[in-house]
Amino acid sequence: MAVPPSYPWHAFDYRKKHYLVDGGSGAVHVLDEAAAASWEYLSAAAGGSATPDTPSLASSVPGDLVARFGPQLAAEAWQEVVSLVLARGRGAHADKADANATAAASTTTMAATATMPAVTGSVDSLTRSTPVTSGGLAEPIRIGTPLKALCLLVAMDCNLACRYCFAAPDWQRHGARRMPAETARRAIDFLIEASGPSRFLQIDFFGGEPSLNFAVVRNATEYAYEQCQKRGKAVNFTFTTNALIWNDEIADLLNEYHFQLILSLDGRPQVHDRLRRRVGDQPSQAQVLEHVHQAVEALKDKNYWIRGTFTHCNLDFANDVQYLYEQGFRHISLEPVVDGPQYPWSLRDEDLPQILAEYERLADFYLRQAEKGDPFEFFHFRIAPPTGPCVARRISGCGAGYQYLAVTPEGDLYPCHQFVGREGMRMGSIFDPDAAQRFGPRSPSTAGGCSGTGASTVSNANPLAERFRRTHALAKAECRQCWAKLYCGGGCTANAHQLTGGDLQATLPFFCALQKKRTELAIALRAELQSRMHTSA
Amino acid sequence: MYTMQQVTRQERRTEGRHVHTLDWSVLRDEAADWKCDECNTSCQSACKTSCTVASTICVKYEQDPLKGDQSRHSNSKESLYRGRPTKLSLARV
Repeated sequence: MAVPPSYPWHAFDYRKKHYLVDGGSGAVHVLDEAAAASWEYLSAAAGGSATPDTPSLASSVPGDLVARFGPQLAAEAWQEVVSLVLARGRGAHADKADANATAAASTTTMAATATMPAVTGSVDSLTRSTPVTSGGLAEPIRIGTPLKALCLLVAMDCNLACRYCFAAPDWQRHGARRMPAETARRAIDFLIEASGPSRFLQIDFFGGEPSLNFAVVRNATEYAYEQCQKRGKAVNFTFTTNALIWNDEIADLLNEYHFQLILSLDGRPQVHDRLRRRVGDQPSQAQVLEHVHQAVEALKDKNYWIRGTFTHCNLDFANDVQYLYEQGFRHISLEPVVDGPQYPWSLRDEDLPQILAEYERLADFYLRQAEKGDPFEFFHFRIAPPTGPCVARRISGCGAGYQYLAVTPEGDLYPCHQFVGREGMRMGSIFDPDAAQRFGPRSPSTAGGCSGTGASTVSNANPLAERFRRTHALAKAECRQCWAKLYCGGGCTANAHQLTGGDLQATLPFFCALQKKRTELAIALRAELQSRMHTSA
Repeated sequence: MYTMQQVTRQERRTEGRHVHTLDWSVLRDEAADWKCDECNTSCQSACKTSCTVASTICVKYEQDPLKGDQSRHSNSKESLYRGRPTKLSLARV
C-alpha cells in the first residue's frame, strides 16, 4: 500500500493482512480488502497526500472499487477510510454524528457511481485517539519530573574483553576502578533526595562487570531498600552481568530483592566467542552458558532477559535467537551493535536489507512458537502491555540526563551509562553540595511543575539536563513526521551522540529503519495473536 | 507473553465493518500524565532495563503496591516490587 507523507499514516501488510498506523495518535487500524483498496486508491489519487483537503475525499466512490467489490461494500469501505482522514483533519475526537455528516456532505458534491450508505460501523471508534500536537516544540517536556533512576557503575573493570564494548575505553584510559561502598551509599542518598515526591525509584548495577564488586552491590541494595522504606518509596533493582561469575550469594540477593537480571549472551558458540573473549583471549561461551542456565533456574520470579548483540559477523541473527530459545530461554533480546565504521563487526548500510529480512524470519519463528503453545518474549516485539505507557511517556523517551543518570566509581554523573567518559557530557558529581537540587523537581513558581521538597529553580537546574529534556521526539523534525514516534520515543540519544560526533537531536536513518521494521512486526504479531485468541475463545 | 485473560480483557476490537481499530493502540493522553514520573525508565538498547518506551508499564493502572493489600504485602519486599509481570501482579489480573 502507498504511504501518504503529509500526515504520518503508515500502511503495511503482514501475512496478507492490511495495517494502517495513524502515526499522529499511535492508533492501529486493520483494514479488510475493500478498505485497503480504498486507502490505496485514496493515497495514490492524492499524490501520496491524504489529508482532509485531499480532493479525492470529495469525490464519489471510485468506479474501479465498485467494480471490484460491488456498490454496497465499496461505498461502505470508502466511507470508513474517508472518515479516518477527515477525523485527523479536525485533530480531535470526532463524534459519530459529526463524522457522518461530514462524510455524507463530501460525497454528494460530485456525481456518484454508487450511493453512499449510512455508516454501519462506529465511526467515532475509528477516529478516536487524539493526534499528538507539535506545539511547544522547543520547550522541555515533563517539566516537573525529577531524577528517579540511577545506574551505578560499581566496577569499571571486566573479566571479559569484548571487542565491541562501549565501556572498556574508559578503564583502558583511566585504569580499572571499583566503586567504594561509601560512594554507592552517597549516590543512593542523592537519588532519594533528588527524587523529591516521586515514589518509585530504580537502581541499576552496571559496569564493567558488577559481579567483580558484589560486596558493594549487596551493601548498596540493602541500604537503598532500607532508606526507601523509611521514606515511603518503592525501589527496584536491575543487575547486568556477563555471567562469567555466578554463585549462590548472587542468586540469593537477586531473589530476595526481586532483581531484574540482564544476562549478556550473544547466542551460538561461534558467534559469542568471536567477539566476547576473556581477558586472556580465551573463549567464554561455554562457561557463560552454564552460568546463565544456573541463573535462570535460580531466579524465582524468572525476571531475566538474555541480552545479546548482533553484528556484521552474524547477520543471520534469527538463528541465534532460535539457539537461545532451544536452550530453554524465553526472554530474549538481541540488539544491533553500535560502533564506528572502522571496525569489521560494525553494521553497514548494505547490511540493511538482510537485517530487515532477518527480523521477518524472527517474527515467523516467534509466531510459530506461540502457535505451538510455547511462546517467548523478544524485547522489541513487546509493545503496549495491557497497562501501557501514556503519550507523554512515549514522547519523552528514556529520560536519560534528567530522570536517569549514571554514576562512575568516583561519583561523577553522566546522562546514561553509554555517555560515561565522553567529552563534555559530565554533569557534575554526587558530591556537589547542590547536586540533589540541580536534578530535583522544578519549582511550581518557575516551571509550573510538580511540588515537593528540594524544588529547584530554572537558574540552578543542570544546563545539560535541560538540553536532555529537549531531546524528546517532538523536538526532532524527522520524528515529528514519523509514524513510529509513539512506539520509539525518538531513539537512543547516546547512539545519536556517538555516531554523529555530538548531536543529541540527530536521528540515525539506519537505526530508524530497524526500529520501524521491528515496530511493524510487533504491531502485526500482537494483532495476529490477538486475532487467534479471539478465534479460539 | 501476555496471558489469555490479559489479552481478551484489554484487546477487544473496535468495530467498523471494514476498518477495525485495535483497542490497545488507542493511547491514553491525560493532562496529569505530563507531570507524572511514576513509571520505569526505559532503554531502547536493552542494556539495563526490561522495557522499551513502548512496553513500559504504567503503575497508575496497576494496583498501587504502596497502598495495596496491607495485610498481605505490607513491609514485604514484594510489596515494593512493581512494573513487571510478576506472580504478584499477574495474580491481580
